[in-house]
Amino acid sequence: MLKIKKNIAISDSGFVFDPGTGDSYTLNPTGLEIIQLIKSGKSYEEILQEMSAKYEMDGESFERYFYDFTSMLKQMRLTENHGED
Amino acid sequence: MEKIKLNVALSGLNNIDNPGPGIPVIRGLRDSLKIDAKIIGLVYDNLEPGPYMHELVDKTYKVPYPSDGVEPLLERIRYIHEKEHIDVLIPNFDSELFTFMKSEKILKEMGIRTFLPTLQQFEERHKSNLPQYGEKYGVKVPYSEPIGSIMDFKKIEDKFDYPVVVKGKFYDAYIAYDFEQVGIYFNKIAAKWGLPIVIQEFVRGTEVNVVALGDGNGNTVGAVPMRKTYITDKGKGWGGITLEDPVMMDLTHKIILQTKWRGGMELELIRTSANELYMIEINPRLPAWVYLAVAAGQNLPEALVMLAMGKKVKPFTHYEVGKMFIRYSYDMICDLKEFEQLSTKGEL
Repeated sequence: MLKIKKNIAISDSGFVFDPGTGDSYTLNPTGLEIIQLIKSGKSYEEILQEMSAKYEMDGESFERYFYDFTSMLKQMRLTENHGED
Repeated sequence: MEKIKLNVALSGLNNIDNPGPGIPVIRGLRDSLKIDAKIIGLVYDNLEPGPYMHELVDKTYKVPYPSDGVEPLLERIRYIHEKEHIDVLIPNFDSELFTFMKSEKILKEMGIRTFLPTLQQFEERHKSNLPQYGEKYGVKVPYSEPIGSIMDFKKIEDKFDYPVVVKGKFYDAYIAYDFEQVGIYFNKIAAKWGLPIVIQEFVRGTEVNVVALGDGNGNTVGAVPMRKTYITDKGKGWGGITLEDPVMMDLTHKIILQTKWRGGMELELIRTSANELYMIEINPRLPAWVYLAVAAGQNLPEALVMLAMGKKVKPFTHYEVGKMFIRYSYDMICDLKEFEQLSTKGEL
């Protein structure tokens, strides 16, 4: 399961700070919601279920955007399972 | 607690686009709750901003360049000491450290305390000795060779892949992409800083730095890691942020422990994409961004002065991660009378 690194700080405003590199990022409200769901330990299926219940959306598009988003998180080394930690 | 009154003389008041550490060190001392410092600035140039910053610098004296020799400098320090009774002297330029280290005993006899690395510590971390240093202390360093002429490089050119980094003995570094560029930068740096010039393997990655203070017995009194977030065209940090990086901290502790480093230092490191740390330089003094460490909770200038005074200093164990600095420029309006006084009398 995808895990956000423990030391990554995520504020309610969508500001993400990586204390290891000093890099910071800004998330839009949807990105923030998803990253918080990932951080709380939810699986893709659980996140999909939660988002579907809350928003009107089609599962296929969500899957594509979700994996786009998570691959970006991996690329930015914000996750623990990108193979090098 | 009552503050200790001390007269602290220091150099590096050139708070310009490539600033010396003097003003940030003074800001640390001004923030101190232990020291009530009278700041005596030592300057080389009439246009160094420090002398005109009266809220930070109490009195300024011009001093001869270290290249003029030890005696003229000591004579000037003697004169200043007679007037100001210097308790602690903090040289902030790499280029003057050798002279002050050599004169440590004489200064001590005069009653002036310093807290500098030993000559051996200073010499062995020279850029030209870095490969041996890395080997001795088990630290990854990029391959490098000192050269005395461009023809020297011709002989060893096949040991390197381009680009290479062309570095001065004290300051300046350029990335050269072919032999011709090595020649251009060799001449440029040699004309300014002299020989040898160091040719260093270029390690791709992110530059990260640590400011630290060693007590001379192997203990790290304080250390704060930082990444430059904004770099000027001169390669100087114009912004930075403190990091949480146990690997960098371990490396710092290891170097200070093994070398029994005495005084301030700045470690310049490159973190590669494979997360390996390469040490590219050790600067034997506090860097110009030291005030970030003060703001993050480690007043290293204060600790350095206390150590120089022979006081016990409890090592810092914490600092604030994510503390940032953003440098700015500011047009200070100065009185011609003051400029005249510094220019003609050498004092302000």
